[in-house]
Amino acid sequence: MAKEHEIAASADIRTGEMTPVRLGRSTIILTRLSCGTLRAVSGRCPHMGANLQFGCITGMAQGPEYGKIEMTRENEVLRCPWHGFEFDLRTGDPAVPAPKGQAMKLRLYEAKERDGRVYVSS
Amino acid sequence: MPLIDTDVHEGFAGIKDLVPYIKAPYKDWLAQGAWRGFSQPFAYTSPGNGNRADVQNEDGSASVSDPAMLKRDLLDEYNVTKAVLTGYFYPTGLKMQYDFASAMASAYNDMVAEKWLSSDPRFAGSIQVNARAPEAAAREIDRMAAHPQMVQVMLPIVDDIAYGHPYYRPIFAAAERNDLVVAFHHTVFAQGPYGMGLHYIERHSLIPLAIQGQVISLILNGVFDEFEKLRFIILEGGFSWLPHTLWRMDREYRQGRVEVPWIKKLPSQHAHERLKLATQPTEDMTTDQLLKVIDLIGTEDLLVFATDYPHFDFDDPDAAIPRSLPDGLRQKILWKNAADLYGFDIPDQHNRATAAE
Ligand code: FES
Repeated sequence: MAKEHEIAASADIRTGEMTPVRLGRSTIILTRLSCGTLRAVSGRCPHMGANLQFGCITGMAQGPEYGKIEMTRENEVLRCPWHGFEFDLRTGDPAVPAPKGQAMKLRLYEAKERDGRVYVSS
Repeated sequence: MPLIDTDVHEGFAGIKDLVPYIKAPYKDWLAQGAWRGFSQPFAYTSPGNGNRADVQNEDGSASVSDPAMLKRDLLDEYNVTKAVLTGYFYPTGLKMQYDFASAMASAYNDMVAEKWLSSDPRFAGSIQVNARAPEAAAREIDRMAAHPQMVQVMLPIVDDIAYGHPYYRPIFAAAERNDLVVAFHHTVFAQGPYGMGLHYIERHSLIPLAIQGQVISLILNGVFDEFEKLRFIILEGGFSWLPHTLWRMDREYRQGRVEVPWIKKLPSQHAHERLKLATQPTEDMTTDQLLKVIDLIGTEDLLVFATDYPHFDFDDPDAAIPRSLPDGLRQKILWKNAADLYGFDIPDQHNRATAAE
């Protein structure tokens, strides 16, 4: 059975920012999507293990035509501080599919808010 | 297991850090801000602006100027046995004022010796030179080779005259007579066959091509033949292209050796005997794919590990060199091949432990 842990105050978790919290020996990163939805993801990059709290929250870059960059889905992408891979905060999927035979999905934790506190299940 | 990192970028906090070390009249030049240092002709696109975003240098450049930080983040964090410092300040990039560039190379070397090499026996150093003034570079190599931690001469990848050209021979002669390795590293001015492209992603993808050009130039202009003891290492150029380049040169040699009969060995034989390539940046291959590439390269003794700390395309040793590789091969890549190249005396703890069982 998944265990629920109280790990932060709701008010401390802001859109576009990362709040790292310890859970046992792991670090979990908390953030909010633009719509306010809470997200809790692993603090380790699934590529080579960089500490994701030094990365950044950004949007999904789209290129409708050559030479034109459109940033969409603001605050829904986490970019790794090392190689800069992008991870979709809605699904944990990398923006560019992983090479065949390799796992590269960012772990999402189930996160809930009650009475101004954040709870994560592990 | 021991670990040798063959590409670690130490730096300074700013060009004025060279003022105490540089000779007149250039001391005044730098002190007065007459030159601000190199800038790259492009913008970085990684979150940390060229560095890992969790490592920031004081002047925002893609390097690290604090030995204590480097020791903590890299040597201690990854239990590195030896780290070869490779710099990222390459005076060869100055295409004029050769004496100024040579003086900056000397100053930089003295700064590295004083600030970095003396701070930890795990550091090995690279002698920086201005390759555009080969005789001055040779004198600098003779001067710095006396330092016991200096293990190699660093030649930055240039965008005009490739290193096989006879112009550079005094540099190789100096490296050979001082029993040093010659290392090559890409630069912010290295070019692919059609320049840098229009995007950073192009420029970064083209780096291996710039490096292939240098390997072809060195071997097919007889540098490996003229300097029979010299050994070479190429950093940050990848390695999966090597089978093609060797096959191609071998074929060309079979059909066109008459033009260059002073080349006495098949290009692949020269490479197998005296060339090393650092693995970083690895290209997200599976273990099977990596084993295939090594098989195609033709020897297990050619690849050496590098992190490229503190740059954004850093390779973590455990993630980049899979644990699922055969142990003997993994040991060769992570330390044995580099220990052999540099003559580092590192006890084979693993074998000792096994023998004691
Ligand atoms: S470690 Fe995160 S992208 Fe490589």
